[in-house]
Parts: sequence; C-alpha cells; structure tokens
Amino acid sequence: MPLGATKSTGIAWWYLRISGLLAITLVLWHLFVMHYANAPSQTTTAFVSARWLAAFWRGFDWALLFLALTHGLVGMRNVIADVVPNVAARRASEGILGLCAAVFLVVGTSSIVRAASGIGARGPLSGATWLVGALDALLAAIAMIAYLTILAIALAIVLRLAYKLPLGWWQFHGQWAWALHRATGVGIFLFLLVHVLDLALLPLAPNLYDATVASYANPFLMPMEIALVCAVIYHALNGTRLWILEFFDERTTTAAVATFAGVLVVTVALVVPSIIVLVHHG
Amino acid sequence: MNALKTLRIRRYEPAKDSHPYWASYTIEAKPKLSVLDGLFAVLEQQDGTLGFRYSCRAGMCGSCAMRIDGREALACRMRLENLGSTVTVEPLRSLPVIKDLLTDMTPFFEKYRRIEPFFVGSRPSFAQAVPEPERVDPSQPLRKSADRAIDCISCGACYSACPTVATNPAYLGPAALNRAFALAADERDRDGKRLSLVLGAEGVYGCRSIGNCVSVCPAGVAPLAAISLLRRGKVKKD
Repeated sequence: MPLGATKSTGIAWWYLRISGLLAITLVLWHLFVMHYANAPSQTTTAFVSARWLAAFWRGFDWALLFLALTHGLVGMRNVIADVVPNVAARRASEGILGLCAAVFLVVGTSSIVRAASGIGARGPLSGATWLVGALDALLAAIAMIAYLTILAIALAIVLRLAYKLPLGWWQFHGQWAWALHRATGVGIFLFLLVHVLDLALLPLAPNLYDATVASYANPFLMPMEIALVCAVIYHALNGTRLWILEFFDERTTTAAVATFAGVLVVTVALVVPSIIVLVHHG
Repeated sequence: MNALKTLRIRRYEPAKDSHPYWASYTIEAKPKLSVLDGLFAVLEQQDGTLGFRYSCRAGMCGSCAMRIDGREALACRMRLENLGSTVTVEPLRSLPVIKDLLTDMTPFFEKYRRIEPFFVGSRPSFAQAVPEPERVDPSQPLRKSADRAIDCISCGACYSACPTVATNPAYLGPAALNRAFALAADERDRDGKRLSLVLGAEGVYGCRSIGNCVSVCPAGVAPLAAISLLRRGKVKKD
C-alpha cells in the first residue's frame, strides 16, 4: 500500500473525530436557538439579519458551516467508499462531492459576509419568485426520499419477520447504531446543502427568504423538521458514544449496548420539547 | 420426555444445486445437547449428506463457527435448550460455501497471512548468544490490552459478522487486524513492516466501528478495541 494513501485515510479518520467533537457543541446550541427557544417558522429575515449584525453569531455560524460541511464531506467519502466499488466511479463521485462542498462553502460564507452590513428590504434576486418554489421542491424531494426509505426499511423488517428469516446483522445493536449514524449523516448533509441555498436568499432576495421559512410550517415538511432535530441529536450523541468506545473504553463489549440504549432514550427525550414548540407555533 | 427441536438448515452444494435452499429436520433434544450434537443427530439418523466442520467439540478450536438463528457462534457451545423450537442454522457469511455449513476459509486466512501473523524476534540466529532473556512487564497497559487479543481462535465469526468485510473485499477484517495488534503490542516483536500493512483503508481505517465483531466473538476478544488502539497510534515501532 502506498504511504500517501495510508496517511490520507489516517488523517480523514482523525478529522472526522475531531471535527465531529468540535461541531457537537455548536450544533446543539444552534438547534436550541432555532428549534427550542424559537420555532423554525419564526426565524424570518428580521430574525436572522438582526442576529448576523453581531460578529459573534457570524463567526459562530461560519464555524458551524465549515465544520458541518467538511465533516459531512469526509463522512460522505466513507459512504462512497462503501457503496461504489468501481474505482473510477468512486474518484468521480468524490470529485463531484468535493467541488459541491467547496461551492457551498463559498455561497454560505458570502451570505454571512454580506449580512455583516445589514440586510435591506429587497435584493438583486427579489423578482425571481420561482426560487421559492424550487427550494420547496428540493425540500419536498428530500422529504419524499426520507419517507420512502423509512417505509422500505419498515417493510423489509416486516417481511423478514413474516417469513421467519433470521435478522442477520440487524440483530446487533452496533449495526443499528451505525446504520442510523449513516442515514442521519446523509440526511443532515443533504439538508445542509438546501439550508445554505435558502440562506443565500437572505442577502439576495430577503422577501423570498421569508416565504421559504414560512413553508417550513407545511404539513408535508413538518415531520421532516422533527426528523431533522432527531437526526442531529442522534448523530451528535452517537458520535459522542463512538468517542467513548474508541478512546476511553477499551472494554468495548460492556459499554456498547448500554451506551446505545442511552443514546436512543436521550434522543427521544430531547426531541419531545422541540415537537411541542413546533406544534405550538405551527 | 425430551423436547423436539426443528433444525432449519441452509443447504447448498455449488457443484449440484443451482441455489441454496432450506431443509428442516426435527430431532429429539436431550438436555445439554449442543447445536453441533443436533447436527450429528441429523447426519446419523436422517441425512448422511449434511456437510459441516468440527474438531475439538469444546469451544477451543474454532472449527464449527456458523450462524445460529442469524448470529455467528460456535455450534458446540450453543445449547439447543436455550434456543427456540425452530433453530435456523446457516454457514458463515463472506466466505464461499463448499457444502452446506462448510465454508472455504481461504480468503480469511489469506488476509490473516498478509499481516505477517507471526512473532519476529530480535535474534538474527540461534547461534547468537543472548545475555539476558527479554522481559515484558505484565502491568504495562499495552500488554494488558493485548491480553484479550491473544485469545483469538481464528474461527471466522467476526469476519462473517462484519458488514465492512462484505462490502469491501480488500478489507483485512477484524481477526487479522486483532492479530496485528496483538503482535505489534508486544515490545519484543521486531517486525518493521506489519504496522504499515494495517494502517490504511484496507486495514484499520477501513473499519466503521460497528462492533458486530465484539458482539459475536466466542472467545471474548474485542477486535474493535484492538483496531481503535492501532488507529489512535497507541502502538509504535521504531
């Protein structure tokens, strides 16, 4: 094996752990502000522009953007390595993904930088009302994929049980912990891309931004918001669990099951208040 | 009266059968009868063509690893009385089936061989005199971590339970990486190549920390812990 490949996979592994750990505090704080202290539909142009006048929040949001995008990029690289066996196709997907992440980092950064001098009532793209529809369609597409995936998984489990087939890997807690970590990771990454796009409207078309935020209260998307909160909390907690298993507890066997159960219980407990906030303001 | 148990066995002989199929055999399960004993009952009384591998019958050799109710285990250590009325028995995953429950362990041992699974001493030859035998402090943390890693019986249960092995054919797998750790953690070992062989995408960084290997190991080894120690650079060789 060439030493270069060895080094880059090692660095990627460390980066995933360290960026994840750094992102946890930021993302939970972000989640608290946007889904607990306020309902997402309340985070209008006025709300975000007032927030981004403060250098602290601009720095906070940029750091979160950078960590989430790069952490997602490295994570997606692992997903690609596992699902694309063909080397040329894998390199191509990695290239597209890298380019995509770079573009979104630039778009996100410029939104934050532009907001520093305040957001006016209208922007250069204020007339392009089709953008709202396009973003809504993207969110609806992600929601549709998520709903269909959940349905397919439920169906697969029911069929296996009905035909009395052994659950195989799916009887191991670690398999579920990993699959949920992956699924939530991919989901959060896709949402992050749409989120960068909708925030790009803030300086470019503030009037349209309010329309996209309002669509968060759409009944078809509302379960997705709950799922998003669930996904972020689960991914953060299970990431912490992985840290514990890999870095602190060398007696991995004893801690693994209990910590996974803990992650599930705490995730559900933390999601409930956000559902109350969402329904109350919905 | 002895309980009746149905063994639902996944049968397949690649030379004869176009695809695998399920065959059920009902046997009388006396107390303390193991799944391996159950397979013998089928072989002797019902179907002499059933293929499976065994050797020590005492959980030490690792020959009879298979999937029992979907979970990798040693057939000789699983008692039928602790299982349901129908027990599903399948061969290990990620290994070619030779016949029924008998798998070809070649891919497993080829990967095992790749990590140089043997101790490399410091003496170039026996002729060279050694003034003092080398000692390893038993309380040393690395020596303690290696304690469990050396218990591996190479049965292949972890290899079968690992989804990464199934998706990435180049991945060395939990058993080989655990062995690499056990040797690398030995400060007397002078192998200079082993670490560079396992510190890559096909080695420890290919692992996704799922932990099925730890869940199934019949010898109580935690390959994930060994892999984590290697990834964290806890083992260094000059």
